Amino acid sequence: MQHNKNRLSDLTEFINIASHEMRTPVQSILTHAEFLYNRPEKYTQEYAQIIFRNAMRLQTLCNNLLDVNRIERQTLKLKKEKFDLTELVSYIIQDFKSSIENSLYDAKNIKLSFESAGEIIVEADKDRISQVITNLIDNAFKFTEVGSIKITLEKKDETAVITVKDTGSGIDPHVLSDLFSKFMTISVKGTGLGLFVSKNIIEAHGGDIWAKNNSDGKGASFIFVIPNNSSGKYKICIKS
Amino acid sequence: MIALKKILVVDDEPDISSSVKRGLERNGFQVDAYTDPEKALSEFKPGIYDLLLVDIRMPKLNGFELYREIKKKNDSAKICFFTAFEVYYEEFKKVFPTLDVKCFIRKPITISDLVVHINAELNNK
Repeated sequence: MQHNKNRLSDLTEFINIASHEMRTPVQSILTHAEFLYNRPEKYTQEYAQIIFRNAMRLQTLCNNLLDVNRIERQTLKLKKEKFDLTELVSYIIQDFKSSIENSLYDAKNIKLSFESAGEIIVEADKDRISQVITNLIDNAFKFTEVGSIKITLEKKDETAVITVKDTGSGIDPHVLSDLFSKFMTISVKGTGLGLFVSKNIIEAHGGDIWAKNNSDGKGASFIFVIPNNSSGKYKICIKS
Repeated sequence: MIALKKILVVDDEPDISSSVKRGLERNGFQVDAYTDPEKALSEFKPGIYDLLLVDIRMPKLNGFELYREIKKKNDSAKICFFTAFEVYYEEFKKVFPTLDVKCFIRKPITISDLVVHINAELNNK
């Protein structure tokens, strides 16, 4: 009974947080759609950008909710292909830079950079790896007001190692061990699903993901490793 | 000449604070908007605002804490909490039993409906 009560309490809390995360972008979409409806001649481009940005936020939330469901039902399948990880990360970085330039991202005081050892071919699910990298960079932006976010890609033995290092607020040491648990969130924004989904995607590739505070005391680093030629599971197994 | 009613908006979401400011100004209000509750508190001047419109779930200082601090500077300040979070009157009374607030406006809401709520609260003596 106690177990069920705790689960229910978790579920209630999650529904509260998820509904907050849905209503917040809907508020921006609704208001700016109302402006366009009432005075379509003014600020059209700016309002369209805000509507787009908030619709994307809703899309990410919906995708995360669906992914959690797939993970828990063990039906999340990987579609593996061979691709160059350096090229993929370059495209992702370019997308972020374009979003910043087009004011879709409020990150003008942050320098985003990428370093790679060159071509690194992996056999993995390109969309899912892209999802993980995007989630890590997105989180880095959330916790960094000024400074830099540096993405490094290295080849070590038969693995590819990606590090997303920021100069943000860092991670409370008390939550480090639970950071990738479902519903774990360390800010007033977010549902605590993104890192849970990312961890499951990386583990499904036979890899590992972890986080640490930077040794210089500024910000945190998120690191994941995947085998170049992944023989990871095709279905995600939930660890108890 | 009738003086414009002055509203203080505090919401950590820049898209929301800026659009609410713009929407209320188009409806004849004078508006100051902040995304940082600590800055809103440090720059708060007593006796200026007819109404505070404050988000609840914010970093550094949540809406309840902000209101409690503002009350120390301006005891008669009127407030409407503007929230996407499922925290309502009963929850608020549990946390702050001595503070009397009845205006909770739930997001999402159109600017036209928001104006109706704000006018009702302003007319509420």
